[in-house]
Amino acid sequence: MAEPTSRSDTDHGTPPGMPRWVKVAAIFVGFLLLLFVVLQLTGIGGEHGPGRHMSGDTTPTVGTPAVQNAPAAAVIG
Amino acid sequence: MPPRLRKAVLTTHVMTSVGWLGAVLAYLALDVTAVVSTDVDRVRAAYVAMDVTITYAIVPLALAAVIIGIVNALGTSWGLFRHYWVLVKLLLTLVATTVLLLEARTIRSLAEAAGSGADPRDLPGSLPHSIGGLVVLLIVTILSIYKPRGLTRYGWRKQQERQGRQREESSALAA
Repeated sequence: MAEPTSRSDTDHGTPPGMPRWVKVAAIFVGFLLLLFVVLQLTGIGGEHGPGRHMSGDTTPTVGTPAVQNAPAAAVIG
Repeated sequence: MPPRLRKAVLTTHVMTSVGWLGAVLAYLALDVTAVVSTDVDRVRAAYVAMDVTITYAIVPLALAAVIIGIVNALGTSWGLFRHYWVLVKLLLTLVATTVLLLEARTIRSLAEAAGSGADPRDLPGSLPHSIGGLVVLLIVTILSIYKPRGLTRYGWRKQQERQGRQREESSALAA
């Protein structure tokens, strides 16, 4: 990682605003989180977290106690 | 940080980060096999291999990448909170690592279930998480290479302080 060099757009007397790419990324992540919450609330997305992987009538029960105690994973992507 | 040490830390950081990405790609291949294949033995072996890969390759590489990445950032003038791209990269890496640690327990249970003698083709796999993890790591890699510009308020303040010190030193030398 090369050391940063001073850039002309940061030399002004006032603090720089948030770059556009950060704003766009924040909106996108917010949209994904909102979508996740809506899917969870409506039940369309089913149960999230380790418990979902072990649910189902034909699924073997080995290891389920530990899984049921596991916290729900956060959503990414 | 002395230049030689800085280079060693950077090399280790790149190796662990890229290794993490490669290990996730290998994991994804196993995950797809576990979900798609109709061969019972192959699916069973895929789940066991997923557990081994996540436990002995992905989790150690992820933890090493996070820790060495933080050391690397703090040891250079990039800092950890001065540039948006470093901050975003840190947040994404921390989220990915947290989900990974939680997911590792699930994969252990799936591998145990697959090895219990029941039909492993009924198990659901973990494709959403492995694809999501891969996307996050690709974004992190792109950020590291392109380093999109943008100082945080903290970074701007630090830069002003440094420039102020440099100006004082210059005028002291000139006087």
